[in-house]
Amino acid sequence: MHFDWWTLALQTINFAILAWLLHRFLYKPVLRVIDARRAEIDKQYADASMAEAKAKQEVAAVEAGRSNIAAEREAVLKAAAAQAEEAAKTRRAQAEREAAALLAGARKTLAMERDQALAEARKLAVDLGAGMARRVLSGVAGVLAKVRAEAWLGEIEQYLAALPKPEFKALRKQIADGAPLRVVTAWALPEKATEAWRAGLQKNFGGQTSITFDIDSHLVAGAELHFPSSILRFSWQTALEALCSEIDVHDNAR
Amino acid sequence: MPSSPISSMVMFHLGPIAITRPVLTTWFIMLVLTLGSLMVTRRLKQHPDRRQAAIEAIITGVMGQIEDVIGKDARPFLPLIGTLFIFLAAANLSGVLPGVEAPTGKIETPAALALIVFFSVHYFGVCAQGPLGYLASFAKPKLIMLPLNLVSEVTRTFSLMVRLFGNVMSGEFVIALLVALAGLFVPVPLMALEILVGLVQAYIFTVLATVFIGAAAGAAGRA
Repeated sequence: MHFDWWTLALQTINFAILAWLLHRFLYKPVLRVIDARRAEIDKQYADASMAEAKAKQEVAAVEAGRSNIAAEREAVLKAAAAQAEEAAKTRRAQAEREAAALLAGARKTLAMERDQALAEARKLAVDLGAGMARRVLSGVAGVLAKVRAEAWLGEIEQYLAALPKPEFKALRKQIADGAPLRVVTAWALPEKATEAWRAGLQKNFGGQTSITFDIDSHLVAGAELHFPSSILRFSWQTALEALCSEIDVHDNAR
Repeated sequence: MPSSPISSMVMFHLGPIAITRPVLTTWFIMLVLTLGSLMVTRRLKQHPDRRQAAIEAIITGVMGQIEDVIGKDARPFLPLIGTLFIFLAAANLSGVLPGVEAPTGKIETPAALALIVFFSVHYFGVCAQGPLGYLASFAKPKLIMLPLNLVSEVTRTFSLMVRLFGNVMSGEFVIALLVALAGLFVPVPLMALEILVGLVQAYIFTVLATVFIGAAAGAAGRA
């Protein structure tokens, strides 16, 4: 076996040259492209990371905005609920006030109507009582006229005697010029009583006093002295009316 | 005429230098590889086509292998180790072509490659650890290991050379014998096997060279 040292040397050099050639024409260009692509990929990764970060920021901003919207919505709802509750409370208070006013008005009206009805009932009762008394008394009025004629004259004379002088003078003045003094009774007085009345009245008002007698059945009993411009009432009708008035005054005062 | 079939045939002389057939074949392979490199790298694009993707896959695959073995950036080692693999694959497969003898079937070419690996191991070892640090690594893990480490530096280089030479030369011999004995088409399966053996030997040589260089550069332990 022969070993060729020139071949060994040439093959060594050949390999070195081939390594340089491949490095120059194969590895370098390919690695340059790979590096460029890797740089591009890294750049795209960086861009993607930036885009992702930006997207995350935007998502966070949107989330924050959404939470703000939710909070705002919550606040608006709360304010609206509070406003509605306030309005409802106001309306309820107003309704309660109106209801209370209506109730008070109704009670007042009811009380007034009740008082009015009571007063009317009382008045009816009084009128009924007065009417009943009038009817009962009218049945005995004829007898009373005979029995009580002198007593009624006595009451009239007592009244005239008790009158203050100016008033009595004023009465006398009304009939001083010949004007008649009209005596009105419920029933016709007996003749004897009529003379007694005329004498008694002329005694008080003067002997020239013209005295006439009339009958008014509404008076029930008693008599009335009709002067030209005033009347002195001593009838039971007047007494009953005064009694009714006193009862009304008493009820109203109560 | 060569005295032995395993000796290199001298084709012509350039002065005192005898140009043998393996050298001529190597030049041819260098020409093909250089022109091929120029062609495939002529229009490299950011978005690769199939051709560019295949080239990038080969180179990145070689770099991945280097990084797996050495554990460092593969770029400083790529011109040596990548060229070793490409040249060995091309040289081993060239024997399949009719009338072409694989340069690695003659002892001088594997010896030249083993010699390059031998000096490269020391070069990268010194670069990585410094002269003294690299020399001190021969005495590890114990000083008594120094002679064995020194011997192993030679023997493993020698084994690289012999393994490659023996496999390629024996394959060519078997094919030549079968062609002579059985005819033209009988050795075709063995030629396919020879292709596989050629690629495997290129891979083994390259990986062993990478392991040696990585051991020297990283001082992870002597191979």
